[in-house]
Amino acid sequence: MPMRRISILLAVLLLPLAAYAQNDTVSVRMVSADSLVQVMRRVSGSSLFIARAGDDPATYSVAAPRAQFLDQALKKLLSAGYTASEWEGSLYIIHGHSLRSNLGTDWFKLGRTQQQEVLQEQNVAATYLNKVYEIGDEKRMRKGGKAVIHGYVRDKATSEPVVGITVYDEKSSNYAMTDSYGFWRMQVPTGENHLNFSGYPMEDVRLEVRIFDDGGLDIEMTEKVVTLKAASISAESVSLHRTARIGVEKIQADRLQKIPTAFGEADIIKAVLALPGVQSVGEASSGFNVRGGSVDQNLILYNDGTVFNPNHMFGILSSFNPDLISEAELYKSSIPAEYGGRISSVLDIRTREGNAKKITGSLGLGLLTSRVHLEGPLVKDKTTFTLGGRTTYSNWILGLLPKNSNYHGGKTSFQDVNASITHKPNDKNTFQVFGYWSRDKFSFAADTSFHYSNLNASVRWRHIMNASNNMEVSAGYDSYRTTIDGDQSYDYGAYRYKHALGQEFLKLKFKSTVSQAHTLSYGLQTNVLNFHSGHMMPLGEASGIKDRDLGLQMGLEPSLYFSDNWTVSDRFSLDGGVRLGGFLPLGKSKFYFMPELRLSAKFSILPSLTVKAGVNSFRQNIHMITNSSTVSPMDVWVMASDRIKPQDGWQAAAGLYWTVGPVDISLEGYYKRSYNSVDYRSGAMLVMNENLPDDLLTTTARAYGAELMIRKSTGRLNGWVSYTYARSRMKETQADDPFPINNGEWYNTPHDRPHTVKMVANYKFTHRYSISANLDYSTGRPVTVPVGVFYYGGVRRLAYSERNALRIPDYFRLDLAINVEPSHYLKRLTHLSFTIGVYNVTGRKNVYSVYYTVDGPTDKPKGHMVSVFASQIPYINLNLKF
Amino acid sequence: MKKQLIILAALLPLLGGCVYDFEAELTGDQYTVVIEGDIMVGGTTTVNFTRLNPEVLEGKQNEQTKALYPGDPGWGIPVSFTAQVEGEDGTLVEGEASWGSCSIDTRFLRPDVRYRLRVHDLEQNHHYVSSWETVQGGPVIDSLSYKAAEDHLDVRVTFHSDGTTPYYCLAQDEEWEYHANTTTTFRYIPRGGKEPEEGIQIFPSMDSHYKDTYGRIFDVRGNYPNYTCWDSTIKGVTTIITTGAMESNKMVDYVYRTLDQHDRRISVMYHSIVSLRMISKESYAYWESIESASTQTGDLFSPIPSILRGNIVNEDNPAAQVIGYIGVSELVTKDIFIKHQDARVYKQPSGFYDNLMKATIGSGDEMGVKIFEMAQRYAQGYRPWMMDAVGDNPFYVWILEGCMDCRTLGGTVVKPKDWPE
Repeated sequence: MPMRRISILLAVLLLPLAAYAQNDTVSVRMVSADSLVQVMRRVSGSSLFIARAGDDPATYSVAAPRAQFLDQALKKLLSAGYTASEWEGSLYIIHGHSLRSNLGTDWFKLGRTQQQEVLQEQNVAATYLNKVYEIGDEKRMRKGGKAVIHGYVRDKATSEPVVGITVYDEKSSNYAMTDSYGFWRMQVPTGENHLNFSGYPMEDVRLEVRIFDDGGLDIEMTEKVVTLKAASISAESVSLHRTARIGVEKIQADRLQKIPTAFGEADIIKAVLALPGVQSVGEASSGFNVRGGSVDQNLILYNDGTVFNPNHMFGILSSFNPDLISEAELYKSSIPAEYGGRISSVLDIRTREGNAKKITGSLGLGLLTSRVHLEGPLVKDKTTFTLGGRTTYSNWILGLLPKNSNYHGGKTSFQDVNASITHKPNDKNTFQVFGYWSRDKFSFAADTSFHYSNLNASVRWRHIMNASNNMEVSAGYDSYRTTIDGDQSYDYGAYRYKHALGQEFLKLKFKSTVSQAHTLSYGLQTNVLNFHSGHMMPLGEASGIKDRDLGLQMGLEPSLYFSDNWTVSDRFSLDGGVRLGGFLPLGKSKFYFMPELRLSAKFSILPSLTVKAGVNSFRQNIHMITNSSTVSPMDVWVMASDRIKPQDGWQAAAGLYWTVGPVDISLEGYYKRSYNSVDYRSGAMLVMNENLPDDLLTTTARAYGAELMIRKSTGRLNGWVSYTYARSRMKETQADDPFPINNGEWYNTPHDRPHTVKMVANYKFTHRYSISANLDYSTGRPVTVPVGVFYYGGVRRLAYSERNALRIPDYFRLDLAINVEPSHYLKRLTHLSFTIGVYNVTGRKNVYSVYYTVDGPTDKPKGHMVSVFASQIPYINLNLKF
Repeated sequence: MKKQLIILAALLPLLGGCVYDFEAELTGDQYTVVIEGDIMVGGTTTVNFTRLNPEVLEGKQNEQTKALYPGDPGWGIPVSFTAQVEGEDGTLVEGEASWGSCSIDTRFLRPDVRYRLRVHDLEQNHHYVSSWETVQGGPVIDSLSYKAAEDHLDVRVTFHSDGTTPYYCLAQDEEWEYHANTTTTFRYIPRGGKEPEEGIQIFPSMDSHYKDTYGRIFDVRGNYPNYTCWDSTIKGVTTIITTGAMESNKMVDYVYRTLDQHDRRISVMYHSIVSLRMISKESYAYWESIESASTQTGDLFSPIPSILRGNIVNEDNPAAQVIGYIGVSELVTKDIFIKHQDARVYKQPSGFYDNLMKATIGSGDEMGVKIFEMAQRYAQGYRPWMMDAVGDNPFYVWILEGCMDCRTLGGTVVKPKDWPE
């Protein structure tokens, strides 16, 4: 009897071992979760812990080869409601909960309700941390070699690509960043590695990977709630020290709402204006100036299409629906070789693809604007759509304005529509069709009305050719049209004037990761420009206006580009390229060709201390002729011809970057020159001028400055503060002008503002409550003032001397907002958040422009300053999420 | 992406935008000269030569300017100069040495010759010369007309030209007849004063014991003296017009003057004299730049003002700025009289009667000027104006004499020559 018990006991003890030893297959039958984990621990040699929920009567049976036993066993447990979380080399298997890696240092000071909130909010997605990922084919393992790995990062909730995520390999210290498709690629050593995925606003992910060969790894990330006292290094910090490019700013759509703006409307252009080195001539002015450049020297791309006038309502709102923006990048200095056609900056705006899991939308109603948007899958996880529209109905408000306001009695309206369809038949291919249309209409006087419209339509195909190469082809059409109906109160002289720009484009881009050290970008682009210089026609039957059409100007703008991002060593890297651009005005005998150089270098003195320098040259084949200080419908665009040269420019810049904890400090200096920009002769007629080149003057401009920025991207307090010293001057260089502007001396440009201080700050008191502040100070911009009064033609006139010799009062504005975020109890059906803010808290009457009049016969010239927002403007913004 | 319902509310009206005074220290220019005056073929050329007065920026007027243009500091400092019109055929027409303004007889200039103006600044001893300019032929003024709207009157011109140049300069002078704010048939004769030739004594009555103790009020025929006046503009306002955009070189019913319904000019009879000439393209561009620098300001899209460069050069200092463009033209003129009885646009401004009542004595509860006050009121400048009554008891309201004297509104009682009845 005792022998029998011993035998049975031995059999029980040895049975798992027997199963373990048979033919390298591990098999267990009807064992408890605890026993299963014991076997898993023995088989894998890993540190494994299990926390069962009370009495778990379930039993588990698993049979699999040794190498796969761990995975198979985990699958069984996961299907039974367990989660697996890796933490510091150990695997935690927990029933019904996931591992909380951080409760915050105030955990024990919180009340029970607050603790519950934190537990709910920290919905750490531990789903990816429960396994070792294998990339590539084990049979082709290159021991001691390298492999090119790639993948997509998507939002777990919507399957949309996540842009700007840093992918960092701990073993080689290599890094990559996801592009607008959420795609990343880099070369890493084979073997066991740890990959870190981090970036706002996603929860950081650290994966253990085993790399055999070239291959892909797609992950899904979840949105995180900012840990209040974390001092983690931000993705911005990583890219600051990893890329050789200077003067690059990335703006995520999620950050837009945190920058208070007039009337609470999130706006990408207003966010851009909060950055150092970016100015405008004043509130409600179209366009922006980057490092002293003029407004027509900025290339604004919207899903690869060019937007010529990016503003609604004379600059109060931008053309871009914030609900649909994914991200934007502003290149102020080191402009990648793939971009060309402008000499000051590039603002590249991308839209979202849409929720791939379910149809969602938003509706906004306000006294000023309304907007609606829908998005969702047409075919789940394969085809998505986005559709958004905005309109305004502000005429009734303009009627309430004081009579001495320039806008009293005026009328303004706009509409815009965005639509896209994105189709991903497989991981290698993405197709997108995108369309954007906007229309603005306004009038300040009863007899003249202005209309302008933008249209962008494009198709795009992106193809992952192989592990190291991908390709993108896009083609599209852009147009900008202006219509002015004038003199409508004079039947015989009533007219309609039209001016239109259009371009068709084709872009072919390639990216290749040829080695750990070299990433190549190359491609070709072609633009066909067609400018309708002006068409004036009678308006009404009684009009005596002659129908006159200046015809179409056409030009071909081909270009090739090639660039290499060369990581010479861990500390030193170069980013160099060349762009071979040409311009052929069709029907003319002239062909313009100029290679553009793009070169920048980076040296890391320490991992957190980097110095960069760069020099870049640019060419621009089109000019905007304007006689005002801001973009207006009266502006005329011309292209280079046999009598009008293209604009050329170059910029040299250098920067020092230092990261101290969570704070990035950057100091950048630049010097830039531009040539052959055009101005107009005094008294020149810009509209319907058949001989416009005769009335144009050439100018040269120079700008220099230094930008100091301190930025903290993470933590309870985040944002940035910057100080910029910058000068921007120009002079006329027209050889045949006997009386050049300001006697041929250098004079201040309209956007010359020597001192600028900007601050954007958010402070989170708790996870729900935060305040935002936006501060903007700058030296007053230059204006031209009179030096005398005289009679001419029976009217008292003003005589002016030097252009832009005086300055208007300095600009200062402070905006504040209180944000209340929703509770993150996931079980709730609705989440309410709102923002209460005040634009221009101090109510300062910031001057937009100054002009003089001579009124009564005994009056001296009287100065008047025009202020657009001359008081505090409070607003409330409610978000109801459901 | 979560579903959102976004409600945006602005609590205050959009755009608290406004215009405010701007004080800045301006530095006056005292060297820039202004030469104005196109050469008029077949007529008289008037040349004005002034220097900018830097004190104007402080609201002050130069003493010399005061002598020529009292009360208006807008005029520059007149300069002593001589001027002559020079032709490419050797013609030389001299004007007399003058101060600020001179006239040159250019009636006999030929339209097929180019001309220019020469000016000699006698104070600075600088010589100025304009560019050679072709004579721009005279257009034809087809008609002057007006259009009456409910709240304004438009005065219009229709003209055409057989020439190819589509640029015109229109100047207009104005004269107008108007009346004083009010009138009366009452006359106050102080005690012992001579009675009016025609009229009857109405206060005090003839059988009153005080019939002449404190003076008398007579009711006479005709309005109060100086009831009707005439006024005119000092200098015509110049407008530039282009027919470049039109089907033909013609302009129909172009509104060159708009008068508000409350403008006194159209209260009785308005006379507009139009002078029209063709100008060159360069001259037109110059006028455009002057217009935009002075009048097209203050808006979002206002052009940036700049130094004005005409076609006159200082031969002694070519870099010096000279304001002015001298063209050569043939001038045509036409005029129109507009009666209020025909146009019927004019209305008294709102508050007119209330303001008038503020200048009265004896109205309302005061129940008239008392008989023993009349001499005192007369001495204070009041005159009997209208009669009112309570029951059978009449009383007289008096008003400041200036309200009945049209000259206080700036005009003169001298009727212009050939003024229609």
